Amino acid sequence: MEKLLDDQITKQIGEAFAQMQAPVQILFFGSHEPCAYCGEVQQLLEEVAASHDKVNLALYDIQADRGLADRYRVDKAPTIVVAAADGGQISDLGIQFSGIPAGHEFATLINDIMIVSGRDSGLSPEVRDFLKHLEEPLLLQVFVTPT
Amino acid sequence: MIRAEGVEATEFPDLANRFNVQGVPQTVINSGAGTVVGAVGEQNLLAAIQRALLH
Repeated sequence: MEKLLDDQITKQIGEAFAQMQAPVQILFFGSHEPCAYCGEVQQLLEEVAASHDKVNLALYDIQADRGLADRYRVDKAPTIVVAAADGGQISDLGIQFSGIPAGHEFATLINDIMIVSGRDSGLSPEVRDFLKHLEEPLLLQVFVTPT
Repeated sequence: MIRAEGVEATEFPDLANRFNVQGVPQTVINSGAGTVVGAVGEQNLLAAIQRALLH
């Protein structure tokens, strides 16, 4: 199959991933029902995961693996969950992307992977302090389009 | 406790329409309790979250 990521992009990913720290677990939820871009997103993630041995990829089906999808609160496909992996233990950090991460969103995905690998949000002390004292769940949905 | 989801709006138009997404990026806080249009800095996002949580 022809690769989605060309040599230059692959080289840039390699350079970004050279700073990789702790392992990252990517969970891909596709669907066997009609799903725009599920195949492309899966292939994209396979190529990204092949770029570094600390990036692990697991493939799931949103219907067949409904229990796991519910646990990660995934309700649509394709969805990419970027989680932390420590010695076989996977920690859901509440980070996911639904749809194809094309254009700028591909850079966002690579950034997400690096942030999770570093186990550091990079947020300011003030914001961290506020979030630490949250008393109710917070859901942020960022709508984007491929550009 | 905190979840952050990126949503490609053209693939999930029903969700985008539910929150009346007109331009991108648009951040919807707690399913409509608040909304932020455009790419804003950390402090502005924090302020919008604080406003949304007061509701």
